[in-house]
Amino acid sequence: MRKYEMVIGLEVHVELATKTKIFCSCKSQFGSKVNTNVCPVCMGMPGTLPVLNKKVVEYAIALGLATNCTINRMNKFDRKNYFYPDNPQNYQISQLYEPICKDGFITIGNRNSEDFNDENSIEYNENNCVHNDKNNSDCNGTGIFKEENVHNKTKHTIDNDNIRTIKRIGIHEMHMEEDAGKIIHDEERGLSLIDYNRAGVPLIEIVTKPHMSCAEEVLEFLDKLRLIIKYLKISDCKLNEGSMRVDVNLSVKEVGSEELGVRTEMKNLNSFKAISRAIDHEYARQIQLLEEGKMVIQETRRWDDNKNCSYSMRSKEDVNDYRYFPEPDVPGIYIDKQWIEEIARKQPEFRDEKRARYKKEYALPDYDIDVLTEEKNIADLFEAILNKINELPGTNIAPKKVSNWIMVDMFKIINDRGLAAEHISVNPEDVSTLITLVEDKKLTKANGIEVLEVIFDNKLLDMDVETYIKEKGLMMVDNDDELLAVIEEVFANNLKSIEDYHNGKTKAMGYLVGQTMKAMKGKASPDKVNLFIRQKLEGYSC
Amino acid sequence: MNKITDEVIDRISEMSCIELTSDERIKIKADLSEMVNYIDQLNELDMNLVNDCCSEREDINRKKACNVFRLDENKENEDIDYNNEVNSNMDNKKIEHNNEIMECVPSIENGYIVVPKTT
Amino acid sequence: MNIKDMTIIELVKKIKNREYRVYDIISEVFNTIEANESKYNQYISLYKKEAMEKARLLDKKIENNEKVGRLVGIPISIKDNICVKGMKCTCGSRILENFVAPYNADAVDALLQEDAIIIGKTNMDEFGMGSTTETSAYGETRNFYDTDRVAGGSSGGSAVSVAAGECMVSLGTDTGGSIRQPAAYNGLVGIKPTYGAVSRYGLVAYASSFDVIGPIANNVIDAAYVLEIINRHDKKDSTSREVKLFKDSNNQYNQYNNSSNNSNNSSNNSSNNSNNNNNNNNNNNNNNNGNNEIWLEHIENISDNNISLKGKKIAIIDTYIEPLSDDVKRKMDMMCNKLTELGAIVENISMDIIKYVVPTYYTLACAEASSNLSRYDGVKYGHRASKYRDLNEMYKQTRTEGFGTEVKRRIMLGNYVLSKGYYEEYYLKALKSKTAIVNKFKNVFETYDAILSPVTANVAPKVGESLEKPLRMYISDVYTTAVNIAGLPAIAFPVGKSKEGMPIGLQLIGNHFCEKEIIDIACICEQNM
Repeated sequence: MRKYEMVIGLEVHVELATKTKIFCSCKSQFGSKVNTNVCPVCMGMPGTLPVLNKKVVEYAIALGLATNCTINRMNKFDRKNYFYPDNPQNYQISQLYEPICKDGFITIGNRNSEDFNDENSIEYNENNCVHNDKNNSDCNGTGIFKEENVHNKTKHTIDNDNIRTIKRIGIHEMHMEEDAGKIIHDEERGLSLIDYNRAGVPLIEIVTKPHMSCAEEVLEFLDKLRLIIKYLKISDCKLNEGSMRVDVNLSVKEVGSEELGVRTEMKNLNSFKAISRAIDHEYARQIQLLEEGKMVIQETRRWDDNKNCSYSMRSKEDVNDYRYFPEPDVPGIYIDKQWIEEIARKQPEFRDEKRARYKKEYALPDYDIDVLTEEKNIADLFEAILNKINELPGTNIAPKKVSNWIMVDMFKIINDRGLAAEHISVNPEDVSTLITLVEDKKLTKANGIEVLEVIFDNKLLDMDVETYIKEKGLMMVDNDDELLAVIEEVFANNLKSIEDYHNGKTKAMGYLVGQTMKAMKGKASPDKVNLFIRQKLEGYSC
Repeated sequence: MNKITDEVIDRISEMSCIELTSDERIKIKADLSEMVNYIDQLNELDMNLVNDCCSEREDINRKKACNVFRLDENKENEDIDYNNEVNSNMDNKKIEHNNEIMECVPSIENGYIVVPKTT
Repeated sequence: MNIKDMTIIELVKKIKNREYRVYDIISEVFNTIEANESKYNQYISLYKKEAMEKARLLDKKIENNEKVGRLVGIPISIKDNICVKGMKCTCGSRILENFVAPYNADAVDALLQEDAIIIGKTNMDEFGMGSTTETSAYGETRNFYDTDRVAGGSSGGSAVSVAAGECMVSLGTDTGGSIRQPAAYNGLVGIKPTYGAVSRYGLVAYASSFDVIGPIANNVIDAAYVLEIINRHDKKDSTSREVKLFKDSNNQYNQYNNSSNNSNNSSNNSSNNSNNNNNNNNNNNNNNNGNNEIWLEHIENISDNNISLKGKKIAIIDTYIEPLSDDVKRKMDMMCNKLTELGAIVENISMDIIKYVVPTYYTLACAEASSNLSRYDGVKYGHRASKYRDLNEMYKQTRTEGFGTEVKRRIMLGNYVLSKGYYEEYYLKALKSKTAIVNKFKNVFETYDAILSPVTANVAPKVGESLEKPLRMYISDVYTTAVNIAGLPAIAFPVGKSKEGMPIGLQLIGNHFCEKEIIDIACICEQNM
């Protein structure tokens, strides 16, 4: 059997989280009653005209800058003409001739932004596949490749003895366009039901170059793209909700050949797993065709994740002549340097940059960094807490400690309460105070977690944390005498346990500790309690 | 030179979602041929003398006529109220306006617009 | 009392003075309409009840000394491709025969805010595609002066409703000459404003780059008066410009064309704000009163022969595609002489590019139309076929039943020039040709203040003559379509009659946003007839 490799390009549609639609001021919001977020404009009524939402342009520029695109300073809209009922005017206002962004890239395979040194970067114009054959895949997802399979077009970095391949996935262009309405098909009655709430919702379409060569690369690219978009807060970007839609264009070619094969387009990929399965399935399907001497037909295929296979859709796409021409109702867009600079200034620090910085500044392990930077909200909280802590004189709490608080304790609360990490909002000052108190051993961890829950539930009631803790009498008791007195009492009331301990039942000590903690209402330092009780038991005198 | 063949008429009428009777086909074919031949005159124009039609960029006119934007704000019904009444009950107005739009629809069911099944 | 005997300004004064009651005026209007019934077929729908009701309300307001608008009680008709809320909007087509507009066009809003009374919607060529009002699905409209002849198009119904004394002004639309030509054919004044001077919101699109709304009236002052009211920036239309046409009382080009930006005279209270973000309609209305008085004063000055044409340079385009009829030629010569007498400098210029005007226009207009008319599919509004097996058939049946022959022809031509393989050859070339035409006009206006030209080569043709040869009909539009391609303003005004007694009109073409210039000249010509 000949050796083949995959060539994959993507078309990603992202629904923007603006308040209003792209060309009218209807609400652009999920979940409203059927056909209630509509107006004469987005219903395509006679005599109505589109007016462009400025936020959409800003979001497109922001995304373009974040993905290293060139911003097309003069860009405009075009009409894409085709008859379909989810399109009220039977044309879609999109950008073909002069899209707003072009020639960008997203780097994959790198741990962080430092990994890819621009001086050594290479522009790719074609696929740089690094796999020979999927079955003997040398890519197991960890990025470790055998040296001989590596193209000289990729860059490697040595990182902890692993040779890693870093690639730039090219973005051919990005453009703004309007979404279509939703259709529900009633097969039984032979009817279609249309809801125009979604018609006119703003989309950004990202068209990549065919630079990906396996499912893992595709997933990594999408993950990076998703994170960038979420960090910019321009979209919810959820595959399963439709705020992010991915179409996969895949062809195969023989290893070493310059000629690209016929590509197919796959739609209806509603999860990362589905994307991965669809890619592998299509790869195998195309190879089989070629091995049988048949040709791959250029067509659009619909993926059925339940059946784990794809079906050819009527290739309307190929037959359709869209007759694109410049949209006469929307004047051109002229983006001056100032505007770009303004938006560039507001760009957040993105995930890969945070990853680099966290490593350098905080010396956190990779796992921690990944968890903390998955949601910008959490990363910001982490940094804010650290900053607050560092403001307090004399404190010396390692970032790892704060990381643990977030990854373990906070996430437990978030998960237990079914909250969305991206939407939580707590006062970093409160949390930093809390953490400081616990680490300074002025508050037990157990009590600390209780207070943390109060903070999350917003029940501090205008008090600052320290006051709250004091009011509730949760501060750890610092008074050794008081503690010893209580221990005395506990010992006095539990002679049996003392006897048990001396008879070898070491568990008895734990019981005594527990009783003491209970009597101290959790305000004793567990360390101290253990120490004193052990001493007392050993010495049996105090 | 006749560019307007039967095949062209078929393709274009399909694209236009219009059906022609055989008489109409004959007439339109002749009319379109005549028109297309007439439009061919445009080939005489020396296009090198004309800047790229998008070089309106240099034209101050154009710069003034671009970048027409709308703020991303929910403005209820800014296009229907012409007698400038003070609307205390925006929701009712919105429902009323929505009704006016939906009243135009030939076939509705539970708020959905009904059409025969798409192919 | 015949409303044709006075200007709008005069009638408004008399109404405010309670010399006439609005109710009586409107009653009289509907009497005339009923008397003229089916003679001309100029209306698609009439709204007598609503008009009378409004008339009563306005009379009450006047009785109570309440403030009323600048068009109080004036009967106005609206071409049936401009949306009036609650009234049918058919565009002369079967495909919208049951469509009732759920909103007002901005221009209509402007009129209603001034207490105008809309009496009905007028007949037109289907979707504006035609030059005779014979392509309407509701029958042709006949010329007021000779019912064997066409009214002209596509705003034929609008023109006749004014000519018949049934309203004082009508809002028509002009994409290739559709205001000016029927105005000329019926002895009226028609103004095609600069593209962008009047909002297109609520105007059912035919060719988005060329469509404009404008007034047809009995005289220049009436048309100008109404134009001033509908000229306003509308944020619902992205192609609407923030230019007030009648800002200064000086006879200068306004800020738009002046490279040396004159700081505006102090007599205007709101005028310095062409970037005025205050788009609240009511507010504009109030602020305009300052401008309006100056503008009224200006108009009245013209009437008193206080403006001269001394030093005005007027160009006549030498290049004729269509040989002019004797009558029209004679009128052109007469007008040239008159203008010279009044002190203007009249010169011939050649404009070879005129040859490409009609092919450019039809390529671009049909291309845009093919897309603009795609929305008529029976899904959301309008006519829906009753017999079909699936969606595709429903589309085809609906559109085949709903559209007339001319519309089908233009949709198909439009799709052809946009289709794969032809886009560069036709559409892009036409765009370039458009730029060349725009540039040529720019050139001309560097030297000249206005261009004088015929509106058509001949008087109104007989009914049935034009439709057989569509290309012929297109070519006869050459004098008017050049103006639409360049987005320039033009005013058609009557200059007399032909030997057979049919009205002839000529047009003055001005530079962008220089309506005032050509209105002044037209006004003077009108007085010196």
